Amino acid sequence: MNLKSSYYFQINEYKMPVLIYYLVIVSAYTFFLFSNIEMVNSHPGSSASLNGMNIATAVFLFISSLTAFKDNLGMMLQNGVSRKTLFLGRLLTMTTLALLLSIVEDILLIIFQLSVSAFTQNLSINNAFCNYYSNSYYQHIDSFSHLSMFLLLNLAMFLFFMAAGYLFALIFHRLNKAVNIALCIGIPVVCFIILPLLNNRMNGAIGKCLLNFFAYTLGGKWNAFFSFTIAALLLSALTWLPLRRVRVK
Amino acid sequence: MNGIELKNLTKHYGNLCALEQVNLTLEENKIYGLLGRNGAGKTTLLNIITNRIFADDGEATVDGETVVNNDKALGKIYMLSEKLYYPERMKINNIFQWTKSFYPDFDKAYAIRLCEMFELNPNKTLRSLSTGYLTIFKLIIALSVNVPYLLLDEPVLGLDAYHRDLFYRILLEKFSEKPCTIVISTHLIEEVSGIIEEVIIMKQGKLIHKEACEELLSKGYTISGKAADVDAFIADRRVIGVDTLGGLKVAYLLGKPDSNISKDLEISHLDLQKLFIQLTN
Repeated sequence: MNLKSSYYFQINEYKMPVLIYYLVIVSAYTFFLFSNIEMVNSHPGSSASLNGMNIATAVFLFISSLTAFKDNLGMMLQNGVSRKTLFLGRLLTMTTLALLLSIVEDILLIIFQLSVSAFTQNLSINNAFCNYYSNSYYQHIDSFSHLSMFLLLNLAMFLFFMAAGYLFALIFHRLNKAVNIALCIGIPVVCFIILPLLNNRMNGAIGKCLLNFFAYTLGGKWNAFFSFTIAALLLSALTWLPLRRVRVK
Repeated sequence: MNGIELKNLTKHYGNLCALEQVNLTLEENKIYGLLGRNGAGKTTLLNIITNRIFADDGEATVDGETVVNNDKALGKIYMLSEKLYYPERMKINNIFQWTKSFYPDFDKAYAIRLCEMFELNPNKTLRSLSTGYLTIFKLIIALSVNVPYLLLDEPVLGLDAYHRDLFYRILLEKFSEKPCTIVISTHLIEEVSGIIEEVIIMKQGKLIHKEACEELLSKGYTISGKAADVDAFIADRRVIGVDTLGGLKVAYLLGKPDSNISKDLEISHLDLQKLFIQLTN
């Protein structure tokens, strides 16, 4: 069945990049551990922390989704797979990958925290949600509820970043070169020049609006979970619009 | 009905009309030659049949089912195109494996045998192949995929004479063992004239001829001999073209040959390429 093949092909495309990515993450962790362990032990009262590994994973998934689109499309069209099946395969791939990587993130966090505490109590490793959505800073993630909360949050966040990456790639693929260039220049200009200028003129009203928006959407763990999930669903649904008549350039 | 059916297919690229109201039926188990000058709409037609692009109007069906977003219909067709749709970084062996998962009748053992015959190393990546070997790779998949409808768009692009001959022989061998519908779109008309059963000629987005090859060729003849004799013979006849070599002349004519042809002149079958040039000019 073509949906199965489409799904297998798309998930297989992530196999090597994910392996390389986690190899880099484990190397970075090992470097962090051994470069800081002596420092914190020799200077009483000092401490070091490494946070936000899951944000790095989200960025990695965003970038790999940006690059996945072109090869997937060509391969599917060459092998008699419809765009509808490509889309369904993509949804299955995203869900599987987000779930798998959320589990891996939990497992790695536990392993990293246990291995750090074996050497010293002054080094800490946490994901981005530990501080933000928990009442206390976790030296050790030791309860199922914490792990399941992180798993759900990571799952929703990873889904959102993958959906966004794929949609961006698709939009850039559909637009012509001139519009692509205009967007590449226009987006940073709007974000980093025009918006700050407008914000200044409006006595920080835009900034306040954005802060309120993020405070509401990401302000609590369930808010964040539902915001990421709804945004991921919305972006995925939007993906179908440019995908249904896309062609290889 | 069985076969590929195109009804009123129309496609525009901006102001350019690539296909205009094309109606065509491709029957089962026949070899078609799709001929036309550059920009005639051949590739556009094949791309619509495989749903790689969409027609502005009209419909393409395979065995009675539309091809648009239809895996069942699309799974019966394999198209070899000039453009490479496979990821360049992939190894040929891996592509064979994936092709097997998309087309269950793909014969991997046969593909490996063809690799040996064409001297193609299946452990190479597509990126490392020359134009000719990329074509060979695509041909091997097309010959091994075992689908009811095989569309070959410029199948011998960049191939040397030896490999072209090998391909034609294997194609005929394969067709006699397991017949399927094959559409060959090419500019090398003379090379395929011995293979194709029916000729489809396109001109400026329109279908101008669809006829059995033999029938089409019987519409004219070739006459050769001394230049003066040939000139005298063709004076009041419909001449398609003339080739001169020294004192000898070959003329290509439309119509049936006369019974009272001079003994100094030699009569033979019409050349498909000459006829094509006449029909498309």
